[in-house]
Amino acid sequence: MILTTKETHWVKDRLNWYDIPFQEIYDEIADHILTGIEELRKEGNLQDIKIVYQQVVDEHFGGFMGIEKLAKEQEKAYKKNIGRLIWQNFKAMFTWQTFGFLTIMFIVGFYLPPVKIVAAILFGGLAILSFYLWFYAHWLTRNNRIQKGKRSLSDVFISKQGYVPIVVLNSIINLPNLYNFLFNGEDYQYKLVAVHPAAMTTVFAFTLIYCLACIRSCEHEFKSSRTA
Amino acid sequence: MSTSPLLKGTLQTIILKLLEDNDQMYGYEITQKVKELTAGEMKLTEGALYPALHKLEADGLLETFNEIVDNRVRKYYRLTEQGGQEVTSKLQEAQAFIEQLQAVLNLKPQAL
Repeated sequence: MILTTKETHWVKDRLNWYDIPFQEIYDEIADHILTGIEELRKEGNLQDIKIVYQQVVDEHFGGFMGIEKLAKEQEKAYKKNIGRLIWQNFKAMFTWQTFGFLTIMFIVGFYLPPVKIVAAILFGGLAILSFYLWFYAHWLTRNNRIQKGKRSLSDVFISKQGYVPIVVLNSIINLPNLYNFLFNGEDYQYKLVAVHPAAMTTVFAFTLIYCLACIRSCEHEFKSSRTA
Repeated sequence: MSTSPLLKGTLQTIILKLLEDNDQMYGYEITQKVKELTAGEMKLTEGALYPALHKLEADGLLETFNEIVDNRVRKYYRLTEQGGQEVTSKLQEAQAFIEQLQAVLNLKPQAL
């Protein structure tokens, strides 16, 4: 027996009482509970929705604590899964072509003048890559049905595990340059940068490869999470 | 048997086998299928089922897709190619374990 719209809404609203911040986890738990209620109704249980709901939650999840615990476990499992997926894609990117690309970038770095403008261009490129990844993840999941107050697992974790390491790594690489820029006076533009361009171009090349791995992971996750 | 600890070690095998036989299933369906096949003797708790499903997905043995059913999102699980290959070895492993258990505990299979 299909539940009435009012009953379905009641169940979904009731589930919002729990700490389930991610839409995908919420959807799976909601579907499980609603199917459980429908089955009980089929068996002739016509009690009030509040009573049947509680029966399903208690029997299947061991009460509301069980739901929150499950939501947390699913979140952790998903995070691990995304990490594994990105790492697998990252490893798969290392072909002889990418090694060639890394070598070329490293050599090019030695021919670049170690001046502020070069550091700024490379840092700008890294910033664009980080932003592009964040934007791409959002764009892919733009049509997913996300309730107000909830977030998408794939969007959040791909963004976190994608652009956060990029930003952190590149911030560390560029910190000495930033220090020079802030504390070495107005003549800084004529001074050498603290980090050699060869190091920066190599990091840039690695970042580009990592970004491509993240984009592949985004596409894989999007394929799984989109609704048919 | 309900949520026996004995079930824990074989949960992944059970899921893989069910998905091999049924092509694609959602969480609730898996719990009900197990209940049905064991005449209600074996009950999978959701607290055990979903982590196992996500572990199998993380190991690349399962893949998921969503469908809209009765105006709600339903997540289906199905075997990947790797998962399909894994079912046979998991079943052989389970079979060998059952035989060893019978030998150690001196159990004889009940005559049907």
